[in-house]
Amino acid sequence: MMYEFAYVRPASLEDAVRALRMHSEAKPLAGGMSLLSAMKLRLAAPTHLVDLGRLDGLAGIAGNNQAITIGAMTRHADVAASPIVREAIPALAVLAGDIGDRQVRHRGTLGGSVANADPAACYPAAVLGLAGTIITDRRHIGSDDFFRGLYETALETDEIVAAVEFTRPARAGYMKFPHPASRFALVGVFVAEFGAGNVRVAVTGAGPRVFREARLEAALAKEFTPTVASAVAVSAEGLNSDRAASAEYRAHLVSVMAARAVAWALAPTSQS
Amino acid sequence: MKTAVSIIVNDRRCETEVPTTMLLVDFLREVAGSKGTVVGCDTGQCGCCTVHVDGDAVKSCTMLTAQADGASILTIEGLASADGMHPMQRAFHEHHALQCGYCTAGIVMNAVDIVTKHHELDERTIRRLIEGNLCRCTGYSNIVDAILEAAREAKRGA
Amino acid sequence: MDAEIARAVGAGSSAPRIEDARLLTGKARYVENLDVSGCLFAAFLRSTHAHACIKSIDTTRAVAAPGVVAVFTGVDLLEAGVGPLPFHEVVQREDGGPMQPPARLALASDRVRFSGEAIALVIAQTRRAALDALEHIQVDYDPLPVVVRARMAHAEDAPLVADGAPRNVVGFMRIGDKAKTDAVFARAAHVTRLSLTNQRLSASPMETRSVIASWDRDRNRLTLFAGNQAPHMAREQIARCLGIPNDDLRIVVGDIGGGFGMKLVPYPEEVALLFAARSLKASIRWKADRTESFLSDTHGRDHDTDAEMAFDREGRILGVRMRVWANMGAYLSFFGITVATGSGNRVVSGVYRIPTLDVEVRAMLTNTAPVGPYRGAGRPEAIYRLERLLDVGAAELGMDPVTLRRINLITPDAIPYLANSGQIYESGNFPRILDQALAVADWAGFDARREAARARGQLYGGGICCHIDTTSGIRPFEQVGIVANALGRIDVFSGTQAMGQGIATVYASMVATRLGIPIDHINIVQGDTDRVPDGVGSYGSRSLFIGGSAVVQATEALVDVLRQRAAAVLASNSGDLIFEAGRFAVADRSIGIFELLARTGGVEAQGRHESKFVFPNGCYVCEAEIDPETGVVTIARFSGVDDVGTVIHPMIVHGQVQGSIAQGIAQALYEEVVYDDEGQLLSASFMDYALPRADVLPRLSVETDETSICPTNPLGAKGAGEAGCLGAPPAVVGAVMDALAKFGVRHLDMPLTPEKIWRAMRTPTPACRAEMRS
Repeated sequence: MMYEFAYVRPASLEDAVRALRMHSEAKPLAGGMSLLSAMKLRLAAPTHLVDLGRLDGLAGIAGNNQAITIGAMTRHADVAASPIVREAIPALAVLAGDIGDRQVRHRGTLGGSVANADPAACYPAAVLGLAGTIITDRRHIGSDDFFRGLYETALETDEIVAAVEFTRPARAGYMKFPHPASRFALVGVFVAEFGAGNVRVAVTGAGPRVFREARLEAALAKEFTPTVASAVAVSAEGLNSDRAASAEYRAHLVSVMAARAVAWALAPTSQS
Repeated sequence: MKTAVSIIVNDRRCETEVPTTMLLVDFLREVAGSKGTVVGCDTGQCGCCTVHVDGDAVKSCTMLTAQADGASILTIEGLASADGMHPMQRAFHEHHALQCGYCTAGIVMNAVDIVTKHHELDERTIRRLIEGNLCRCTGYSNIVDAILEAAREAKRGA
Repeated sequence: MDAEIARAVGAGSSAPRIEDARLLTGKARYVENLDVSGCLFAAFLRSTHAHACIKSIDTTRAVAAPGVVAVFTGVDLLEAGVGPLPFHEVVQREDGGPMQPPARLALASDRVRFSGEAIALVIAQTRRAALDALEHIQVDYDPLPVVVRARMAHAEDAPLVADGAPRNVVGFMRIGDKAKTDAVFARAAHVTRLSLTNQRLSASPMETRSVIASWDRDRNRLTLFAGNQAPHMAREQIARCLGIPNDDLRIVVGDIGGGFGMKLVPYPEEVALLFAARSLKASIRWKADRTESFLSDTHGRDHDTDAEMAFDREGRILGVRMRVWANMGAYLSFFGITVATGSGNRVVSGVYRIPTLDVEVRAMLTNTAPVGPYRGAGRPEAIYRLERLLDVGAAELGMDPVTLRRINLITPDAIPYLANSGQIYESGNFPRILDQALAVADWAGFDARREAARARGQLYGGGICCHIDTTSGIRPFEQVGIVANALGRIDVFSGTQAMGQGIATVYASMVATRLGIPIDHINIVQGDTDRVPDGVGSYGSRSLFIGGSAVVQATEALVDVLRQRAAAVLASNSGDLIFEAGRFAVADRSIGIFELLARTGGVEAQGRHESKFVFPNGCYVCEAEIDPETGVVTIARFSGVDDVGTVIHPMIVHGQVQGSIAQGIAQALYEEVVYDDEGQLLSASFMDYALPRADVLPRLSVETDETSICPTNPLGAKGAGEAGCLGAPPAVVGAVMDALAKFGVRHLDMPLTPEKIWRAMRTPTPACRAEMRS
């Protein structure tokens, strides 16, 4: 049962920022999948919740030849079903369509996931793997600078994610090895190739935060094939080790999932 | 701290003030009197509390009542019509897709939403789409059969 | 007679479930849905230490907190004379003295022995106020050393959980003949040895424990609304704790959202809440949240075993030796010790001829939550160790696991068979069941499927399990009353308990079919100690073969009375009357039951059935596929045959079989309750404890065989519902080990997680390396 808080429904993004600025222990509320869960367990105790749910303009998907931009309050289900996303970056649609379960996908949002930066969430892998740009109420932040640590981002406490811009890759794939109970990513690997020699590999679930795997990137830049990915020995150093998987097993899964993501990127199917 | 809401539950409008901390599931049970929606966990895993909010299956344990202000909610109590049980409820009954019944309202609500939105359903797809609902009694096969049957019926009726 | 009775009650036809209408429309009567007005709310403060002395508890600030009505601690209960929760005194200590487990108080007073043990109870106007007040209670702990694993608890230098249990052995039992077994092992051609763990599980029904404790002002007594599987038994035990006569406590059960044995025993929370209700003359609600459930529900299994099997040159079993350390947790739940020393040992030799046994079971105290019955309750542990020994033995002897089992099966000519567990297997045809299971599984096609899987780059294996269950005769009776009134309504009163398994449908259908009337005239009354005069409860798959047999007796008694009356009305000899389709007829005269009741008034009849243990059995075959890159196991096929005696309601039996196999597969692959070395529970939510979801469970093809009906009850039924938990784990583990055979792995402990399998694949045993080199 949650601690008491005040519920704030701002009229505009500026309003929302003002509310966050006014109360130091205020938190923006997006879909609430992570924040409300933490509050129920009394692991989070904001004094104010600033509900972004009714701000027009924070949800929606638009694309051009170079990139697609997805509003922060766009739900996972809408990203998964979007013809724009499915055409431009099918791997992103598949990723969104496999977050949590369908009930969660009806509430959870891109912005909420990215701002929360759960080390085992799927979206951060796509943001980092697709060289995304996080557009906030005040600035643009490149994905390489955004994810700082465990639940830690470059966002200021009163800063709100408005949208994320994803670079269109030549091809991309995402493969997740789910935790047996929570179904979060025990290891999730997003691979994207942006023309010859330019490959990004982002790994979620395996470490304290989402990160790029340099060895895989280098190897795949030379030859973008599953065999190459499988052959890369990923280091277990710094990876998470817990009851569900040791660091060593996670490291192994990184290269297996990378290989499968590459295979998918080369021959996409509707399901992961 | 309180907040005012106006929510339609099973076609009945409910205008009232609720505590800001009140979860939608508690509003449904304690304010709207829909006790068919129950809670089986604290972490959003079990899906027992699944209801429809504006036509989408969601877990009412992970949503504030305030977030549902202005929304239209459908719960298990609103599914049957004057002609009797909803085809999904009937299919669950005929296929022995429930035992203790505790997960049933949530699974039925998710299943109704699934059949509404997915027109090509096979066993594997259904098993994936109900991953957000835990059932401890049945082993799921009869649930899958019931949903397949209701999906066939929906197709025939369409 | 048996076949005739089974036919008369409609065996083999599946009446639609009468429970479904309310469960499907949101009208279920779970405790949380019961409308008891003016309830206060409760919250429990639980120990954060696994083992500690409580130096002090300061509740001052909590008592003063807004909305708080009262705060109770263990001292309050002790001073009021509330006693410890009882335990089943079935065995002795290893030194022969009486068991002396630590007193399990409803609220711990001076010492806590597991993390999550209740220490204080807050009663408040709202649930929020109760929970908030918990944060204002100060407990000063003096931590003590902790022991978690049963085998480790037996070490000479292990911390002691209680004074009355030297080396933490709280109870002990021995079966068999040690000298004879030693002799057999000394001359055996081959001995297979295995150390294994049957891991701790959580029953995890979707409805957590939920209680309303209520003071009845008019009658000055207590009512407990709770989802208990055996209300009469619970009443006796709780009343004893509270020091009140049975009649001063009423237990009412509505719908139960799953029990699986975990809701069989009374709980400390119930005693504390009743005490509070009596003290405050109030009604109090409490429902465990999921983490509280993981912390404080009784867990299941948790046996460490050293198992040995001696074979002759042909693979015939000569003897078995078992050393079992059964983890009881910190206290004995009522049936905790019974599971370890009783029910499992009744099937200790399985379906095999085992000339001699030497089994020692030590019931161990540890700093963990108490263990209790969980679906199967002792039999899964017993069957698992035997079947694992046979699989490993077959590998060591270079024999086919099916052949090894076949040559050791008890043959039908030996039935009834006196097993050296002391039990008599009353019926069964084990070779036939094995053959049928292999046919259902298309075992002949296994090699081709394995080749096909290998061609896809997958590892593939097959596993088999021949299991035998023993359905419960602890308190081996049920009493059933039937009251038919003049309006044609027929109430059937039984102390067995509906908990989702559909037993009310089965009873109603049996009575309606026998009487030849529509089922909606039948009203099954269960779960109320005021309305049901006597009974035992539902556990150990006993509701049909004991409870249902009592229903048969009561129904026959009812028909006899009606027959006498019909004879009078029709002016005939009762012996000449034919009773068919709800009518008594002689020559051209007849009268229907309803008219008869209307003319002659209501009728009451009683039935009672007592039964020994009976032995359902079966055989399961599993084929499993392993992804060699990740170690992920997928069940490719799962088939088998169950002999549950007469199948009265096929739909419900198959539902039970499917559900219990699902839980068995879950044990093999997914679930495990884990404590760290400090006794902190690591698997405290569904984020960590992997209850299986729809997409990891297979479709099953399991059939029933009704050729060996049970001779000891009028229905010929043996009980169904638990065998899946016995048969599935060994079949699944066998299949996985078969798939891994080329890596030289013979055994891995459950759950077979991907990482365990991945490690086994990359660290082949020395023997395997040699083989791979050659």
